[in-house]
Amino acid sequence: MRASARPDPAYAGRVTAAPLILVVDDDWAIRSNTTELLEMSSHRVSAHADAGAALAWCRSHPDAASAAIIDLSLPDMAGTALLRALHELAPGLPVIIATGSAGEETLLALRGLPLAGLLRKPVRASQVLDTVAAALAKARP
Amino acid sequence: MSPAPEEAARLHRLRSLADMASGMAHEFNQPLTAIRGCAENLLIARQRGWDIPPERIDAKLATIVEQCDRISGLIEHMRAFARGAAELRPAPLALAEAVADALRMIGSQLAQRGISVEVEDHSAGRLALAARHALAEVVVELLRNARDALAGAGRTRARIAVAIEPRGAELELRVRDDGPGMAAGTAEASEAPFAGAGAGGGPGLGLPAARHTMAAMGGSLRIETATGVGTTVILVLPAAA
Repeated sequence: MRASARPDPAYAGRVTAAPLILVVDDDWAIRSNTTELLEMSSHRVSAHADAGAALAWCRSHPDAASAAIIDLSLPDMAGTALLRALHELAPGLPVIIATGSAGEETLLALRGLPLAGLLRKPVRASQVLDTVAAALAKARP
Repeated sequence: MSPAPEEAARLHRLRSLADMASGMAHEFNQPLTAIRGCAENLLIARQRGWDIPPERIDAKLATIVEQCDRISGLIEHMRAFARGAAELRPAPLALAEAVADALRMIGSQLAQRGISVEVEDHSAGRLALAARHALAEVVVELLRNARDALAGAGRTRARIAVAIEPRGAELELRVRDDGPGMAAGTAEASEAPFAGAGAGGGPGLGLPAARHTMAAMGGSLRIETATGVGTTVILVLPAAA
């Protein structure tokens, strides 16, 4: 029995400098499962239940995150507003938006924003991994 | 023109059901999301050949079982509610139970909107005479009004305080929001069915019907409010001997 998970070959080689993903979702089930999925695939995770906590973490850990996945509807701030705030704090940070609504209104709200990816809930685990991998690859060519 | 009390009560029931359905959708969604996530993480780990420590597998399976039980509990609660909401015969009741019932129906919905609910139970074990499910329905109505008042105020972080207090031969259940409150005239007008309904805030159809339900249980409902200080709705019920 091995004590730790063997990393996904697709993500292997990054273990020494595992990219840190910022996860912001007020739903504990999504937050904990996304955290686990990312950790199993050799990422580090900083997870937060609201925008305020996420921004505070970012201010005290400048440049620590390699990518972010944020929920579009958060209790204290719209995901789009958090996206803009993150963009100001960390201009190069790729931000992926997760949303439960795929309506036109949502797409309009997202138009013109610097998105690194869009995840529509319910999201498949493989989609999360693929979108994060694409965002990281784009951020570090 | 105001509808007849029976019609108002019927419409109130319909609105309660619609709100309950929406609340329950939220309540069901969370355990389902948890179950799905656990199962999917196990699946992808197997598919990709990741080693997962057995204790982690156990923990995920335990979560799945626990969340399935949570859903069963919700279904049981809905059944009991459907059977009991029309029952107005009072029986000795810990008021905190009716509050917990109400929160099961609307709690997630409130949390989703950034509204926290604090419950302070000072009853020290004293029971009131009330019909549990009907009272829970009244509390849902008050929480819904508080939610609308807070949403109308454009608050992103808001609080509803629920307090249970003994007062002589009675018990009070107070629901207070720190929203914008109502001017005296508005509070009086809110006694009429439909007042403020659909205006995106303020009490709607529900309060008169809630008052009707309270009276049928031998209790009463009153409102304390003023512009700028929020609104407190006080349910008064006789204490059980």
